[in-house]
Amino acid sequence: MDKFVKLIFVLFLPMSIFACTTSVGKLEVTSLGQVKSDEIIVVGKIKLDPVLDKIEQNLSKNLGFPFNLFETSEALHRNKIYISINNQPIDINSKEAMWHKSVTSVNLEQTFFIRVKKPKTLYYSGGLVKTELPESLSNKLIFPGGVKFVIQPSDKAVYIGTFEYYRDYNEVEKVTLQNEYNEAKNSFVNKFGNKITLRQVKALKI
Amino acid sequence: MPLFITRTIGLRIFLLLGFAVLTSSCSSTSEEIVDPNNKNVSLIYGYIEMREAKRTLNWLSFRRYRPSAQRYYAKIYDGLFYHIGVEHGSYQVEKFGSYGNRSNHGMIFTFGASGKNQTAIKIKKPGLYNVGTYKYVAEKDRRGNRTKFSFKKSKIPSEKELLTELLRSVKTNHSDYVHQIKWIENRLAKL
Repeated sequence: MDKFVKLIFVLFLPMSIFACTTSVGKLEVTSLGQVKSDEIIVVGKIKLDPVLDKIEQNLSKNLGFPFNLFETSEALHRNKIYISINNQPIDINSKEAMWHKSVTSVNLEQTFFIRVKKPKTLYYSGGLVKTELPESLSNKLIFPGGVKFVIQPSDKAVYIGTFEYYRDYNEVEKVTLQNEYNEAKNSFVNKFGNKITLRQVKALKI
Repeated sequence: MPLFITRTIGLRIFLLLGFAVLTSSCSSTSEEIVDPNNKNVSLIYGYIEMREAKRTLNWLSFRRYRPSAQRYYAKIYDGLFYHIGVEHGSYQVEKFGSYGNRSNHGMIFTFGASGKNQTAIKIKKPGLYNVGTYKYVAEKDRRGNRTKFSFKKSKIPSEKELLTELLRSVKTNHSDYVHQIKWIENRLAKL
């Protein structure tokens, strides 16, 4: 019995970890076909000042068998931020924030395109960067959100802006919201064509 | 007896993992050679008394946060730690630890990924920077285990004693660094 339990543990623990780590980050849109009729595309960018350096993320790859079968840590976490954009605000400081269904990973310093169930109000609750694995509260960098956007019924795609976080000692000292609409629109048209309009929406404090 | 074996296996796994973590973190940023003629760098130093940790201070890393991320590994001498040439920016002690031996496993102490600790210092121009003299204090977590720690400011050794030791170490190991030696001597002359 004991051996059986151990076998189950050895076989299924890595699989469950793999399943958990890949359950987030699937909201990124690469083609219009992925967007359902009740969803909209949210376009924006997250920038850090200074930019995230390789030495800030210790994502040990050599975990050994059976963890090395997946080699997911680099691809999942390197230079990525887990952001929450949804029809409800979440507490980004909470332990469970990372696993909330609204959280998706996007590349830092790059325009992101994600799909969200069309809300009346869209909330940006902030983001998380993993600095070390395995995960704990002390090895995450937290970037606050706390803004909302009013969505029109006719909206198919909205641009929310570029959030830039000025940090020192890995604490956020200032957040600016920049307007890079023209750049984002060019990327949007290159990716999806001219079929739908990208509307710029104004950020409001929650 | 089975318990003992389990413990031994557990210890071996722990040691292997600890070694892997230590080697991976050490290899991520190698110790850079600082040009002795570079007048734009600073000497940063401090001291930790580790008696309460029941471990020896064997290694320590400084982190720079601004203008860009950088990690510097310090030279250690009996609680004294220093780096001969760091560039300007926001610094603090990030991690420190001890190597394992026959009777003790290695330990890594970390201040976590974000936020300032007592050793935080901003280096704006080249010179001699002291991050402080501290005593390691073991603290209990909710379960009563001594997994946490804090730093308590200490006056032992005195700044003069520490600088005397620093000067001796720099003259022995980095005799080409005349600017750094001059800074220490100038500070000692004022004490």
